[in-house]
Amino acid sequence: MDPLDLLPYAVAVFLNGACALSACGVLVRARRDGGRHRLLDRWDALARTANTFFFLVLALLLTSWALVPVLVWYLVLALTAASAAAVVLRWPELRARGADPGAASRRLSAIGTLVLLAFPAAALLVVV
Amino acid sequence: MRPPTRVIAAACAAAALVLAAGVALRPVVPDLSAEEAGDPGLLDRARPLLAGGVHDRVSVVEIDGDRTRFAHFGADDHTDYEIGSVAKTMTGLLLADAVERGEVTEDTRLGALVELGDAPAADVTLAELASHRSGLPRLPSRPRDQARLALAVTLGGDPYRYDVDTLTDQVAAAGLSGRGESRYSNMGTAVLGQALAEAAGSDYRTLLRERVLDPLGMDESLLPVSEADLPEDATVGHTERGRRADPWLAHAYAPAGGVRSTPADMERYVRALLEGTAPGTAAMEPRWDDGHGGRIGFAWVVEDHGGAEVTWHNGGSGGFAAMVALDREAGRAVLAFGNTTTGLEPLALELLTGEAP
Repeated sequence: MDPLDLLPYAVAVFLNGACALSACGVLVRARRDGGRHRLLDRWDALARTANTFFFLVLALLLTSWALVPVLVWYLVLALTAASAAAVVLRWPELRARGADPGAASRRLSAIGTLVLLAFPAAALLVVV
Repeated sequence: MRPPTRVIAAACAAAALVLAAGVALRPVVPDLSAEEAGDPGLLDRARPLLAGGVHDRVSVVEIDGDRTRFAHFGADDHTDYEIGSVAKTMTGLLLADAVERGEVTEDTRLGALVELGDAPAADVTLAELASHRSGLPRLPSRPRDQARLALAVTLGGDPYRYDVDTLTDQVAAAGLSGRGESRYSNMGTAVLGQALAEAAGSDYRTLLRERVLDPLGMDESLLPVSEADLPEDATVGHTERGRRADPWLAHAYAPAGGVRSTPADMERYVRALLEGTAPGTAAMEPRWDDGHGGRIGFAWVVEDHGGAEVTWHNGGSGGFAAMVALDREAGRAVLAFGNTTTGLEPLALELLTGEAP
């Protein structure tokens, strides 16, 4: 088999896997009140949610669904929806902006990811 | 502590919104149509060969001497399909026909017909272009063209919406690599078709219509330059990413893959080729090594398969696949067309020769 034939599968595993991992990460953090692995503030929640959506949209656009079962789409979609709900549930308890040294970088990360998300989202609009 | 009801409601709404959007935008992967029509025997032989891959509408045509059998899944004799690179065989016929007419020779230099200045491509011959031995790249190599192609392929768009002037610029900018060796080139066939049109004082669409399509009675075949040229019920192709594919239109790259046709028309085309009555049939004669163990004529590939010498060309566009395979000695041919990108080569070759490729 030509190694290039495996490329569509590799792309599918990477993008759908990244989306699933990101969504699970948000779910876990949204449930925790303390410790390092929690949502630190609203910008942190926004950045991680945007990251999940970024991979979700890329997975939708770039996966060869002729080769990969569409069930995979519904799985990552369900995880993303659950993570979005978890963030909304947690939102009122989160500080608007942390006072720690990492707060500025989290805000930057959120804005950057939202800007990045705009590109595949625009492409998706073109496609549909 | 339990969150307030309004927060719970907002969370449910967020999840529902994401799910609804995801379901609305879900990838759509079609199944082979259950609506069957045509010859029962051919349907029975074709059906198991369509078990793999993704299919929606499929048409299979089997020519055996005087007899033709059709097998359609979700289609009929007049369903239109993009035939992709099978169009290259028509451009090959146009070259052989133009040589017979004395308009050009096989050794006419591209630069004599297309304004390329002192670009390397000006020196290649029409025969080299038709047989993929020109050394031109497969696709335009300029970075902006590569980016446009990648975007179009990703989004299911038409990657070849270039006018003839742009094609000329692309060819002029291209270097030659491995000239004389087989190197498949869409760009080469595209500029060949435009050069032949120039030699005839015409444009490619008119030339193909006047010299191939009309003489063979292929009235259902067309080269659409805009979506308005498509039939109202034009068949929609499906990309491998689960989206509807934009139609590929017949701009400067039409000679390499801008033709839409129907099973009925393609039967006329291939029957005329088998009978030697098509203009430029000499294009099918194998003359050069294709670099993969076969031989190549003007676009047509000739390979031994299942004990038979098979003359063939396949085709693919953003949402369609096609395959035309002829056993000229036996007077037989199998044609297959579909509106997904799953290749139909194994099906056509197995139906033609009785052996799986």
